[in-house]
Amino acid sequence: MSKLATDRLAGSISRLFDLAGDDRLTQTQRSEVSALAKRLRGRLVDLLSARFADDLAEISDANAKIAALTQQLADANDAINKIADVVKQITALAGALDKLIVLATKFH
Amino acid sequence: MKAMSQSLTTINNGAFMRNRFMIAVLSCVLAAGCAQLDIKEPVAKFQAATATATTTIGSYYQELNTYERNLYLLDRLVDPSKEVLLKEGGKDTPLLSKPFNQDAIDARLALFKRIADYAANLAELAGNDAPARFQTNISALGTSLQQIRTDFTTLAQAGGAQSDAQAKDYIGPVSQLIGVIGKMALEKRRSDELRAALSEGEKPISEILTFLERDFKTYIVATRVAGQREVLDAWMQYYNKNRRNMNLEQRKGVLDRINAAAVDIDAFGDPTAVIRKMGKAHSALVKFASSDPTPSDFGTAVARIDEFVTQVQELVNAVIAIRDAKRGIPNV
Repeated sequence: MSKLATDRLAGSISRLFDLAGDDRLTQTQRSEVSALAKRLRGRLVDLLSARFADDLAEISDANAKIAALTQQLADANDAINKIADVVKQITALAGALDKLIVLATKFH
Repeated sequence: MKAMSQSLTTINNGAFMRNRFMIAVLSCVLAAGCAQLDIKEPVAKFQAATATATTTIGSYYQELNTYERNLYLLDRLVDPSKEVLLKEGGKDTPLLSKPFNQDAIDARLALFKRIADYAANLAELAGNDAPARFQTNISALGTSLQQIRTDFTTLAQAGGAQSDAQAKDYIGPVSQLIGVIGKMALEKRRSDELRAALSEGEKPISEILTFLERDFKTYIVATRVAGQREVLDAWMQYYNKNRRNMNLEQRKGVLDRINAAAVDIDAFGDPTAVIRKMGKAHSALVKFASSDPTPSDFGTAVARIDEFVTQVQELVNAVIAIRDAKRGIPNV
């Protein structure tokens, strides 16, 4: 059974909240990161108990995006310097998680 | 919380406990013959701490759905542009729906309690008497576990909102444990067969504790840690956007909430550490009960029980610190 990397996702969400409280970002950027972090946490709660078909490509895709985001957030200075890329990455991940919610429902 | 604090009054302080192992071993060595290693007192402490751990971990688990509702309402409180709704984009909000399956939560709490009962019952084998009481208790425990296995089987087969992806993991080890307990209940006295059954029980117990630790970590740690970051962030964003329009009293009110959220993150007790320590205490009790105990076995069992008790105390302290910081502040 495919499994979403929820622990890693939770870690990334905490790092995003770190960025949302960092004054090296503008107020607008902080608000944007904050809103995206909340969105990801909502998806985390939705997907904690979800079951998926074996070897689901969408799970692999979402896990790859979580890994990429984790990598991007590993260095805070780097993430701040490339905040536009980080926002793009989070948005892509949130979209992938939205798809998974639909698939989890269909699987049942 | 008061009851929780009272139940811990018998628990020793940390400095003393660190020396318990040596004290226990030396006492036995010095005592003439060391004929009877009395584990009743340590086991009583183990049982008291287990009851407290079950209550404390249970409170984290039971609050999961309430917590999500409070978080949803907080988001609306700090952002007047957002409506309060039952459904958003066709999806239920946490206002009336429960994001977490209550049956899945209850099954894990019941199993945690039964595993603790099992470990405590091992002490009944410690004396030289025939373990009659052990056999009565262990039979009742087997019956409880059969119901828990049924609950996990039902959860594993459920779909949709009742889906519980991890439930099936428990069925195998719980079934094995029921088998082991069945063997124990048949033995009329301490025997090689009974000792073998005790050892056989270690594997399923270890697996069950591993799964419980994983699920506690996923459900409680992941959601609460990220959730508390969201609470802190909500109040920080609100303060930073509105601080110039607030008077002193209003700023103080918001800063108190920010402080409470920060304490919650800082003091958060990790319930998974309690599970790990319980596993070690169980292993020590198995060793103590499955052979003619030596002073060293006795000392190890006492030391592991003390470590478990300390971990439970730390968890309780975290809960108390968080509640103190929130005193007078409604909801999250």
